[in-house]
Amino acid sequence: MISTLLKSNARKARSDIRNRVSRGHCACYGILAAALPLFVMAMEPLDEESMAQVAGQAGMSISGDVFINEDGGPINNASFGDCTDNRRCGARLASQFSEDGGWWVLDDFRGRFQFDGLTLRVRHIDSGFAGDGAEFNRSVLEIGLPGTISMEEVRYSVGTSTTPRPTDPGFQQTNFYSVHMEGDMRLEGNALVFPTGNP
Amino acid sequence: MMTHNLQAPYMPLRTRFRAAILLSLTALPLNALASISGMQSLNDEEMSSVSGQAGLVIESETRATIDRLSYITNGNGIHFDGIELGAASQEGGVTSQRHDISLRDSGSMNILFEVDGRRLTVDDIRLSDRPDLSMGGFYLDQNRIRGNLTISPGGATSDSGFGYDLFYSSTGGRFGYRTNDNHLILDGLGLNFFSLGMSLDMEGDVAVFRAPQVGGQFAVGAIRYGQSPDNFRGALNELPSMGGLTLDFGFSSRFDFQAGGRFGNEGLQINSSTLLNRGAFIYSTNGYNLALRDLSGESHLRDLRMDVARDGSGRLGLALTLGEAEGELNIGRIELGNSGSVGGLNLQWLYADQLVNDRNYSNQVFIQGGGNPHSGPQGLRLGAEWSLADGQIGYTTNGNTLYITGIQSWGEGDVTLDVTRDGTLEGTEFYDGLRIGFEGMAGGYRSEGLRVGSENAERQAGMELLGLHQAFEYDALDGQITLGPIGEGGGEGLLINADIIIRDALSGALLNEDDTGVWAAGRQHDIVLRDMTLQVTDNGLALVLDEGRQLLDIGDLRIGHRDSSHSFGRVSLQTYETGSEMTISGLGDGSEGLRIFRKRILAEEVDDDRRNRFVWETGRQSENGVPVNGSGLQLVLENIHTSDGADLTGQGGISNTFGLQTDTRINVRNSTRTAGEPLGLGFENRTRFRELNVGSMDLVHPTGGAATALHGISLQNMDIRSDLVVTPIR
Repeated sequence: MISTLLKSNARKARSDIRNRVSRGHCACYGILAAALPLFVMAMEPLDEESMAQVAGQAGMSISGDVFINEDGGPINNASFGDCTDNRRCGARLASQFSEDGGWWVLDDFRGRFQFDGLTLRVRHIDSGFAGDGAEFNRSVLEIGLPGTISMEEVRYSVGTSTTPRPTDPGFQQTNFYSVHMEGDMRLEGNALVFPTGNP
Repeated sequence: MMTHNLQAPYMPLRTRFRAAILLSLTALPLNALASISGMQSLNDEEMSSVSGQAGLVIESETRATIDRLSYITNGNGIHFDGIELGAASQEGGVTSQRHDISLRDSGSMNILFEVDGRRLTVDDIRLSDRPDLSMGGFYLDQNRIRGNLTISPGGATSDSGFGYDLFYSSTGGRFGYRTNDNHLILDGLGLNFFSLGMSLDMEGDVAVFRAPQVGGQFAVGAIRYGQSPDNFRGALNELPSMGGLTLDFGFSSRFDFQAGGRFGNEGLQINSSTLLNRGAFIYSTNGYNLALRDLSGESHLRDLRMDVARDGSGRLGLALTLGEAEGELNIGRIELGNSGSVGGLNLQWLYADQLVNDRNYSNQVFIQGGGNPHSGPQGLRLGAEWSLADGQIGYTTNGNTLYITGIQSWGEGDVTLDVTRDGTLEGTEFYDGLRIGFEGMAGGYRSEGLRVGSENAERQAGMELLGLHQAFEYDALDGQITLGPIGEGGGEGLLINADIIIRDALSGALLNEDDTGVWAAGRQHDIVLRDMTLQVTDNGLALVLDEGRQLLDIGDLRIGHRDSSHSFGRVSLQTYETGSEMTISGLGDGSEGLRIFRKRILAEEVDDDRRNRFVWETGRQSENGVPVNGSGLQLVLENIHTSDGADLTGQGGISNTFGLQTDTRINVRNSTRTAGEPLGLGFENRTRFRELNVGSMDLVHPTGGAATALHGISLQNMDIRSDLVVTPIR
């Protein structure tokens, strides 16, 4: 049943990133998914039937802007600075997969995101989904996707490094690729999150 | 002994005769002593009106003692032991007072009174069933009292009543509450007030007291803490201050008194209505104010009864039981330091009996002696039960209002009040200050959620962004909060030490009308705060924490109905902070709004009690139907901590001073990004940190042991700013 839900929603979900497209991925996602099998995220479009069910429910709709390191971060040293010189002004995430090994890094991450109508609510599903909904008959956390997310100056790099900090002794880093995204990303439908395990 | 100087009738005041009469003060009833209160100097106009009238001057020097005064209803009593009325300046001394009494042509009687340096002392307040325990003692100094009381025949509704006009002022007073040789002192008390047109009438068997026009100011120069086997006298500037208070007020009231208790024929029944026309409350430290201005509102009490009676556990107490209380309080502006107005608040309440979870809750408190059982024989214990049947909070910024509607709250348990000192007694750790203890509390609250713009606007979520649960219930809450002085050159302010333990709690978020939502069940929450200072500063209300530890363990995180079976599993978050700070203020830009700045220093792991750690556990095994922690598969983030990533203090090594900084601004405004620009909860946040590190991420199998998936995670140089408006789903 869950697989049907996932399949049908994945088919309906649409992602359209104009201009340059992200290729980012994270090995830790796989680890997380393997470790935590007891919740599921599915996707569905927001149709009129779903809209009708929303009335009277106490969710919330969030609109606004999110800026990541718009003017640089709080560190100011030889490696980090503001966005007006050659030093990094974005954030940096470093992870070490093996003891005494190197570090995987998502580096110099920054950008601006604008969206209107990201919704969050709890909804009960007991119909629809090609008949699976009646059997499903439980509540889900519905994340209503905002339709369009506008991105400005979204940048990051992916690489490996010898040390977590660029200021550590012996620091060396090799970037695999860098990404620059501009434009609108269309995200329609809903993401449904629901538990499947026991306490 | 007391000397009365009497003036012969029909003689001008200034040519009075004096006659000394010695009276035995032990024969003087306390209510007669209590009636000698208040004073204002005669001005020339009043003097001219009095001149030529009948007059009597009583000048007295007083010291009175009463071994015991008892209030008894239905065979149960509360005893006031060791009562003394004497001098504030020295033990055993006398206090001087003067009363100028005159009769006016209108038939009214005018009493001018002056009192200087008087102290009323009560050593102990005990209940008749527990003579070994006391509620503690108190002393009240009344200094430089000047007043004028006019009593006129004829009440508000009948000729048989009386009317009263009173002007009263006093300065340099003191109130000390003591338990076990520790003192909480309201020092430098000042009171100026007037009450015009007061009346007392008997309407059937009801005594009706009306005070249609009351106004004035009340001030506490300093709230002090001290330790002494004797009651404090004289200047106390050497004792540390927790700050000062000022209250301005203007109101009208009506009180109906009649006989009849809740638990027997004897007792007192009170109904009252009060209309607050104006008011302001100010708490100040070091010259900076937390001010609640433009106060107004109303309060109605119905069927408040006072008895000495036993509670549901058979403990005798001074019982205050309430039928209903309904009211409203408007706070026009809240100002913190010099940061501008945070906005206004409107609070509405209806306290009444209600049925919650198949149990009836009412509003009552049984005041008992003893306090915490380990702190000594003196202290207060309040056996309480409360029931807020309907409440509402309105928060207004720049003319726009956000409401939390349909608030219900209920619960029961004991609250203890003791003035304590640093040390361990019978295994319990105490701190300097006023200790508010919680024993066996069980209760909860829930609300409909937010409404923006009007009380009838569409319901929406968003309380979660304010750090509030939409619903919260707990089966057990124990612990204490001690409010003491900072002292040691830290200036005026509060030093807070707290230990709170919450067991078997349930919280809900994103709730719908059918109670479906996100539920966190089986919550266990331990909170430890050590040496947290609270002061009003130029920038706002500042809190600085020396050490804080929390363990929040949610046994069952789930989505659906509160009894839903499907679960995400167990989530546990342990935090350990040192040197964290928080400042609550206005926006500081001329507009109204709330700003909360937090700097959280997440320290490196010290031991199992002092660390930052996150656990997500699924698939726990059950024993007798109860899931056992550690029996499932766990994802563990160990040794989470912030870091400067460099030595910023010059002390060597990597320092940790920047922490995790969040700067949040909250107001009520329109969402300009959304069609129609609906009104919503404005939420602007900036989060910054130099480094947020995780020592390791482990996967722990109950039999296979731990396997490290990541040997380190370091997130650096982060600055996230969001500017969001939260509205109903459309």
